[in-house]
Amino acid sequence: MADENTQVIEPSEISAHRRSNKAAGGKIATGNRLRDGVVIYLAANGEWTTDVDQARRETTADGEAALKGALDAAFKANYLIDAAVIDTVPSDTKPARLREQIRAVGPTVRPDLARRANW
Amino acid sequence: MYIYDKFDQTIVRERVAEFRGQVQRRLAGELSEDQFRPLRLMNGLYLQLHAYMLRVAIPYGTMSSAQLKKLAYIAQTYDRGYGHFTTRQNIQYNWIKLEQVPDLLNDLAEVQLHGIQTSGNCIRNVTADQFSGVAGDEIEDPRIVSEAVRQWSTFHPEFSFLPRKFKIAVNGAARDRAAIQFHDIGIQVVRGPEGDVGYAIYAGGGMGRTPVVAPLIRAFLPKAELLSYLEAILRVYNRHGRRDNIYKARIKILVREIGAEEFTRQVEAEWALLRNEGVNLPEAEMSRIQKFFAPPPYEKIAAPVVAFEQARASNPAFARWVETNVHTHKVPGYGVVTISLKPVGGIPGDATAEQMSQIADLAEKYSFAEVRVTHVQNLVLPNVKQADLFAVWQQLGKIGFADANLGLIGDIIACPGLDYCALANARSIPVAQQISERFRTPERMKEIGPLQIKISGCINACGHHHAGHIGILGVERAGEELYQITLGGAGDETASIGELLGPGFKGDQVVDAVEKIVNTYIELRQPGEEFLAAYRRVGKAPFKERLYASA
Ligand code: SF4
Repeated sequence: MADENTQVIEPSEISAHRRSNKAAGGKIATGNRLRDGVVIYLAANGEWTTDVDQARRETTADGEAALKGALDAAFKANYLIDAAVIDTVPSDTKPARLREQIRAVGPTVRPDLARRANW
Repeated sequence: MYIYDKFDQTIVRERVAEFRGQVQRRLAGELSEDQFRPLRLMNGLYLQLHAYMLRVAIPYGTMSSAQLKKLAYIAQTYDRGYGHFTTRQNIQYNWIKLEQVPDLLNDLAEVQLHGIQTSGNCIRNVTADQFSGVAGDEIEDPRIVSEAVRQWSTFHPEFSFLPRKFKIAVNGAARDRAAIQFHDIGIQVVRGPEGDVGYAIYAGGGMGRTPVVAPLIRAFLPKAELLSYLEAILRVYNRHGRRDNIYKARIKILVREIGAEEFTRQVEAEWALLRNEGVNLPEAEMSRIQKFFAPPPYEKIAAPVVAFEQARASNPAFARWVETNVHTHKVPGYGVVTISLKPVGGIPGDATAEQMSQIADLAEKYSFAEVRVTHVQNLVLPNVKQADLFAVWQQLGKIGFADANLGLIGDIIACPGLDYCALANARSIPVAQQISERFRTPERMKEIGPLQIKISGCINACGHHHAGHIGILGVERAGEELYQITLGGAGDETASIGELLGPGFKGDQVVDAVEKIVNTYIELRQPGEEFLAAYRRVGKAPFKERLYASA
C-alpha cells in the first residue's frame, strides 16, 4: 500500500487471497466493521466479536452455510464489509493462514498494539 | 512554499463537505458498499487488514512545519499515535475509523492537506526531488513545474477516469533523486542547446509486475509548452491504453506494445493540434507560482564555521552523521539535513506523533519552517545553518532519529507488507528490521559503503524492490512467506531493473543471504568501487555461485 495498487483490486481479489487451505480444520466468519473498520468475527452466541477466541467455529457444510448466511445478512444490514469465511487450524479458532492470524492479532511488528497474545 | 489560493481552498473544503454527506449516507445504509467504495477511494480512504487506512497527499514532498504539526495531531487524535511515510512521499494512517473521517479531513483542510489524488485511476499526487531548491547541482527548482502540474491535474475532467492510475515525477538536478524513469511520465529539467531551461520527457516507466525503465520520448521541450505536451501524452494514453485487462492498463504496456517511436509519433501529432489551444500555463501564472518558491532569507555566512568544525573534530559520531546525512547546500554555511526514519531495528518510514511534532519544531527553529518527505521514506530539513547542525543532531538523538545511515545498508525501503496491507503476500518490515540489526554498527555500514536495499511484500512493488541494489520481494509458496532476491536495480539517472538471482529464501534465511551477497561484493570489489558498480562489472554469476553453493 505504500504505493498503492490497492484500489481497483479491492474486494473480489481479496477473497481470492483467502483461498481455502486443504488441511483446513474448520471455518469461521469474519469481516471489518463498517463504521470503524475493526476486524470482527461471528461469535457462538450470534453476536459479532473482536475476539477471535470467541468465534463460532464450524466443521460441516451446513455449518459453513450458516456462517455465510450470517455474513450475508450483516453485509446487507451495512454492519460489515470485506466479508469472508476463513479456514482455521484443526480444533481451534486460530486462523490457518498467516494473513488471517495477523488480522486477528495485529501487526507482528507492533506487539504493543496486539489484541491478544500471538499463538 | 506554495500557499493555496481561494480556489484551491474552496475545492478542498467543498470536497470535505461532500464526503461528509456521503459518509453519513453510507452509515445510514442509503449507499451500498459498491456505491461508496469509489467515493471513499477518491478521498484516499482504503480498507486494509486491520482497519481503514487514510493516505494523505504531500504534493512533491514539501510541507510546512505547521502541516507536519497537523499530521502529528491527526496521528494522536484519530489514529494510534503514529503514521507511515511512503515511497510516494505521502503519509498513511493505519487505524482510521470511517465515522471520524469527515472531522479528520476537516482538520487537515485547515492546513490545506487532503487525500485527493492518492487513489483511483487519475493523475496522482506529483512527486519530486526532496532537495528541490537547495541542491547544489540543480538547474531549476522542480517544485515550480510540480505545482503547475498539480493545479493542472487536480480534478482534470478529461483524465479522471484513465485506464489506470498515472504517476508523474519531476527532477531538477543532474542527480535523479525522484526515480523519474520509473514513472508514467518523468520530467527532467535540462538546459537546451542555447542554454535555455526546458524539460526532457520520459514516458512509460513503472514498477509493479511488469517493471519498465521509461524511454526518453523528447530530449528538449521548451518550458512554456509543458502542459500541452503532458496533455498530448495523456490523450494518447487515454485513447489507446487498455481497459480490458488491469494488468495491461498502465501506459508502460501501451508504450511497449506499439514501441516508443510510434508512441512518440502519436504524441507529437496530438501535440501539434493542442499546443496552441491555450492549455499551456500563461507566463504570468508561472511567475506567480515561482514567487512562492523564492529562496528564504538566507544569511551571508563566512566559511569556515568554527563551532561546526570544532564539533565535527571532537565528536566522531556527529562527524559521521554529517558525512552521511548532511548534503551540501547551494548556499555556503548551510546544510541539507536528511533525518533517517530508519533507526536500527525500527519500522522504515514510521514516526510517532511526538517525533513528528518535534521535527516540526526543529524545522520551525532551524529550517525556515520547511520539511520534505523523501521517496526513501525519510524526512528532510532543507535549510539548516552549519552552526546549528550540532544542536539539531542532538535533538534528533533525543527522539531516536539520529542514525547516520543515509544511503547505506541500514537505510532500507520497506512497504507495509503483510503486517498491514490487504494485498500483501508476505511481510516486509520484519525483514528490514533483521537486516538493519545484522548490519547495525557504523563501522560495518561504512565498510560496505552505499548500498540500497528495497523490500516489497507483493508484486505491486510499492517497496521499489526492482530499483534496489539488492531488491527483496515477498511471495507466498504453499502458505509460507518466501523472499526472492534481485540484484543490480537502480532508481537514479542510471535506472535499471534488478535481476532475479535464483530460488527464494524463507524468512529466517534472508539476512544470511544478504550477508553472503555483501561479503561477496567486499571480496571482489576494486578499490573504491561501490556495490552497484561492482555488480555491473561482474554480473550476477559470482553472487549466485556463493549464494546457492552449499544449498
Ligand atoms: S507492495 Fe504489495 S504488500 Fe507492499 S504495500 Fe504494495 S500492495 Fe501492499
